[in-house]
Amino acid sequence: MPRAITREEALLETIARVIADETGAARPPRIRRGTRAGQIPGWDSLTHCRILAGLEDSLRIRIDIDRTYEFGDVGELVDYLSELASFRD
Amino acid sequence: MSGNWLTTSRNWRAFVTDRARHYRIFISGNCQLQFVSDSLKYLFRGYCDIEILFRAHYQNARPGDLEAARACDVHIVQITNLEPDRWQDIVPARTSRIRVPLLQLAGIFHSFAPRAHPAHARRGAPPFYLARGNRVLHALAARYAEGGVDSDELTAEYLDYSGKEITAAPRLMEMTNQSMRRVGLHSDFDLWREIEPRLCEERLFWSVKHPTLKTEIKLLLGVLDKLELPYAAEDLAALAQGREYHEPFHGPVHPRVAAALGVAWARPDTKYRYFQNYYTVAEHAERYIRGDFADEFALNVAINDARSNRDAARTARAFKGTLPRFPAHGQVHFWYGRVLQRLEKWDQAIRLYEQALAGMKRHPHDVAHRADVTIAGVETCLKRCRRDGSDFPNFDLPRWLALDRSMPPDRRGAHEIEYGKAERL
Repeated sequence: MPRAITREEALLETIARVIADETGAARPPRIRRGTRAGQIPGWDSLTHCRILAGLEDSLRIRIDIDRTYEFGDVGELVDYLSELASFRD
Repeated sequence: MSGNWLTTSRNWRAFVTDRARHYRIFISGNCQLQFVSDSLKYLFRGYCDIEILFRAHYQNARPGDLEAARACDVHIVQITNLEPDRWQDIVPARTSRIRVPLLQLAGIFHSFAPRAHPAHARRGAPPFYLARGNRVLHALAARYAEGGVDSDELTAEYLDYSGKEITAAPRLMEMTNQSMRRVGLHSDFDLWREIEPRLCEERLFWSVKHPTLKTEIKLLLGVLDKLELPYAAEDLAALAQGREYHEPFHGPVHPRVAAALGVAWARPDTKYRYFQNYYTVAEHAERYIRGDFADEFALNVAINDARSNRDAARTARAFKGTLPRFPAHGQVHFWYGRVLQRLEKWDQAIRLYEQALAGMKRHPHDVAHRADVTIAGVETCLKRCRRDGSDFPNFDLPRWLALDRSMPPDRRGAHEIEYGKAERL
């Protein structure tokens, strides 16, 4: 029986999809908790805001604007989004 | 503030008391700091003891760069939000630093971000915008290519579009402002505080990362203030009154983004320069949908080839095919003339130079750019072409240019008499 995906895996999938949308990549990039923006082609300071705005739209959340550039890697972003999504639920 | 020859600043004192070696300024960042670098070279051109080296943060180091970075007296470095400039780790921590804020206007331009680059061959026809650009416009272009829908209709659909790029624009603008304020906090001077209240009233950027000359001069003033080296105020004034520095491509602003953000300068009739032409946002969109930018692209490849003295016959054919489609502001005529001059078609070249001069006087570019040739430049070429066409029918322009480039700056142009004599002999 297939394993149900965890909330973290679902968030990683959403982040990868939004990154692909905003960077114009043909398919979502492979990302892990330790992935950093500079490792993904097209994820630069210009695209960063669009990615976060895209995540706000997809997850129906509101990111604290003071924290926009405080996520050291995808893992920190996942943790933050997870907190926000829990609060919303 | 600098500009005063009697200044007794720290850097100036260090400079004048240690003349045994050069004062080395190392600059790293993007095109905005390239402008700063070029401007400093101009302002300090009288000092043979000041060395200025610029390296774009996205370029690989060249031989000698690491040594230059380690030995510099001051590092002018651009502060960004995501990836720190890698030169910061190479320049020793004890070295004096001037932290310059990166400027970008993602909020207005990047919700719908058409960008083009003349070096990218595939962008001559759709899709020539960067992939992360305007997906709505791109989808409309794809529908047009499939056939059956009129471009007018698709353009109207684009202008009426009110999807997520429009609704998200205010939030993106809020994020942009926040990110620029953050950059300002980590820099040695904060230009964004001055820029932010005026963004909607005044056109301070041509595209997302390319500020107008006026904005760039403010950035330069911030650097000069921290650099504390003397310069002549009239040289700075000359820079400020000069031609635009960044690429002659202006990002069009979608009317609904403009309305959502209250951008007063982005009206339906606002013209955006696309290299040699100007288009409203509607004209720009329709051209993109129809794929008509291919001609502009071909023309700019031809101009680039003409500037680089590439295959003259092929470049002349390219000009011949595209010239009739371009307005008479003279720039295209000039470069076509240069190519014909290289081909020793003196009469045709002279005629084109004359047309260029007439066009430049009647219809100069609304936004003069440093890539545009000046009237004085055309007059010089016309004069030489008239002389060389009659006196030196075998005049070899590439050879002359190569010889000219090999001369010291103060002797350039002066050797033409000797060259002429050599030709006659």
